[in-house]
Amino acid sequence: MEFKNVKLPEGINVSAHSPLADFFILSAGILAGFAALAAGLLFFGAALARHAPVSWENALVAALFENQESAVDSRTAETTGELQTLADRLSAHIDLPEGLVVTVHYWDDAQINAFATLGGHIFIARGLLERMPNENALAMVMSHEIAHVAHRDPAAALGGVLLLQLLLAVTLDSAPTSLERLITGPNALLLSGFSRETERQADKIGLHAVAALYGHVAEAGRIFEVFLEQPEPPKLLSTHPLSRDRIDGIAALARTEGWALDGPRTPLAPALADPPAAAR
Amino acid sequence: MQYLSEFANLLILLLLLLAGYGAGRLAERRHYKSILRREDELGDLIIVVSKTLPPTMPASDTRLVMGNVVVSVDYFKRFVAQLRMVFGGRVHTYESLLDRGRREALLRMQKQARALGAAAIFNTRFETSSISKGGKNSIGSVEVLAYGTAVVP
Repeated sequence: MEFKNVKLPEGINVSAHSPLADFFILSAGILAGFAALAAGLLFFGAALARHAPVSWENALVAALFENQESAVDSRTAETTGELQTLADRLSAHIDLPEGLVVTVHYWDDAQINAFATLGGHIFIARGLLERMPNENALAMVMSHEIAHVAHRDPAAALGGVLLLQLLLAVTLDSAPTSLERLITGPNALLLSGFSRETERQADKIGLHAVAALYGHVAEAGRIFEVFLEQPEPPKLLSTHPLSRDRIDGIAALARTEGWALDGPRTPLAPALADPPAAAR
Repeated sequence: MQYLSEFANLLILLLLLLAGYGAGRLAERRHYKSILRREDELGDLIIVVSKTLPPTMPASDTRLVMGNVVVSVDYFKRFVAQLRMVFGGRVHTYESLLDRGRREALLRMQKQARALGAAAIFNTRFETSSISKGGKNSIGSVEVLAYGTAVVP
């Protein structure tokens, strides 16, 4: 028997398979699958949370707000009282779930910000109050936050995001870092899109309340004009719709509903026109 | 701005993939070119898996010879392999890694045998192991060892 080396043919142990084709097909498959599952969980979690008893929501945050009132000075108490009065007037025009009471807190912070959280608690920052020229402008902010409370948006956000984070924790725990990176970008897109939609709904409901209280919607877009003074992130990365779109949305809804875009301005109560600051 | 960091992560991933794809293709092409050239040069040095020499083969000496190599896969191929592991099926991207590893190990073994003046290598065997597992159990690089008995006429 004679031994000899024979040149082996190429392309047998290494298939002529394009890695780029694999990359695009597999990435698309994973992203599509994850997006479908994540969207389902986000909306299911949010829907479930919206239907949870209000008492559960109240119980979750009760301990946080128990002893707050005794800690404030008289000026803060007066400002909080005025904010609460405005909130009560607007709440009369918004359908709140039974058992959910709107409680407003004055937040001594320079941010131009306001937010609603669980249990009907709303925080209005000093920075925002200082930029409101009249009660009409403040009313839009207030009614927007009350709309979030009415729609159980804080609970929905908690429920939806919790389920989604659970999915991520389970799927990514043993997944390579590269897969984490592939998924977290689109995950952020999904969450920001979900947030923008709830903000649009809150604008709509809030505007209805403002129109019902004042008979017109003058100054409703003022807060968004203030936001326009700062650069905004790209739409897809933002948790809120673009301010210009929100101003246009107010004008469009006013036209559809037949509300006047102009009307008499109601001045701010003195405690709101000059809100207290801890150290000026 | 809240989700900017997630998009930054995705951008970093895409840049790494691009760099991995480009550098990986170049390295692989060069390696295969070198492998084909040396296989031609060392083609006359017989390699067989048979354990026994033919009785007519002159053999004044026999020595253990070995060749080993560590080959790494680029970021792009590793990523695609990780995606494949979600769905199952053939992991095409690692095929060239193993092919290159085995052929390089054989060539180094042949080179060692040639240096000893051997005419053939019998009882050739392979050992393959993964080393430097990447993050979260992905294959980073592979070590291939080829060894056999060099026969010096």
